[in-house]
Amino acid sequence: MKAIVVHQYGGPEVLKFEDYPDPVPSPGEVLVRVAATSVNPIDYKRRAGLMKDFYPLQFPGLIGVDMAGTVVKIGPGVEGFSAGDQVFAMADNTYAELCVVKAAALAKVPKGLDLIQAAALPLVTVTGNQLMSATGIKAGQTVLVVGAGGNVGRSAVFTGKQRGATVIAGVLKKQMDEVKTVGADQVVATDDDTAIVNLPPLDAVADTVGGRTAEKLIAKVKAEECLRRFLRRRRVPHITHL
Amino acid sequence: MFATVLAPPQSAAYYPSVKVAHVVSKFDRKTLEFMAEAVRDGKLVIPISQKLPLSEAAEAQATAEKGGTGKSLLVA
Repeated sequence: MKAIVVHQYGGPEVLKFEDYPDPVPSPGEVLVRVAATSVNPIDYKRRAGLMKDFYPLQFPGLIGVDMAGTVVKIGPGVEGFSAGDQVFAMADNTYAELCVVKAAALAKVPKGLDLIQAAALPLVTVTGNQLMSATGIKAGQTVLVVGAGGNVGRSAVFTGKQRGATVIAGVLKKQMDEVKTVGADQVVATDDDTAIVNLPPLDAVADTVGGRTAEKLIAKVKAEECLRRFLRRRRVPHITHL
Repeated sequence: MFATVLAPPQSAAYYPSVKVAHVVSKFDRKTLEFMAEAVRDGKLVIPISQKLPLSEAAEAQATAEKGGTGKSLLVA
């Protein structure tokens, strides 16, 4: 097959389109003809060697985590998939014409969704959903999504609305127009200190940006209810503003 | 609750009453299918900024590294 092969850490120029041995499905695995993959920050961080301590590349080796394609062949013991199925996944080595994926980590592309577009979805939409779920936000509560214009952010906003929360989309001032369509109840510029001061108390923050913005915004999150009750009971003097 | 996909903020030490969670995504079939159906139905929009052949992965990554919000697709 053809694949993007990496022989050393470095800039984009280390990505070479070359021949590479076809992968072979082991028991429990599925061989997929890749229709498309998509670029995620983890791909170029790995290429640049920024993650070599905990997620190293082997040389020559392949990269990529998102994949959509068509099942070519199933390995021994695989049930629920057969040749010709349109599938997508978070996998390894997806910048290639063929890819092997554990059947347990494969999903069928919903009918009516374009197979190539499906390759954009696995990592960002699952991450956004799990980020919002991790906040534990409930109906009637308020959550701020930081970086709401990004793809993980958009997915988090959507999930927050699904959970019945009031969702505030946090973006840079210059991006405020871009997020009018993400479905949030309100948009706030996270680089506008006045706007931050005027934010309502937040039940949770779902952060996709980190850095100084995150350092500031953690101050806007209400104390956990159980802690507030505990502190009131104990009359801890220096946290009376809670 | 302050949930983040990045390293937890250092200032978290000053806010002991706020729980901090570092989220690392894990594949979940039901979640992916649910989110993909939302995209198909137009309820969730994941913008595509470029669609290039797989052979042009270097160019796609160079563009993506500069920032911008749309996804770059590589068609195999």
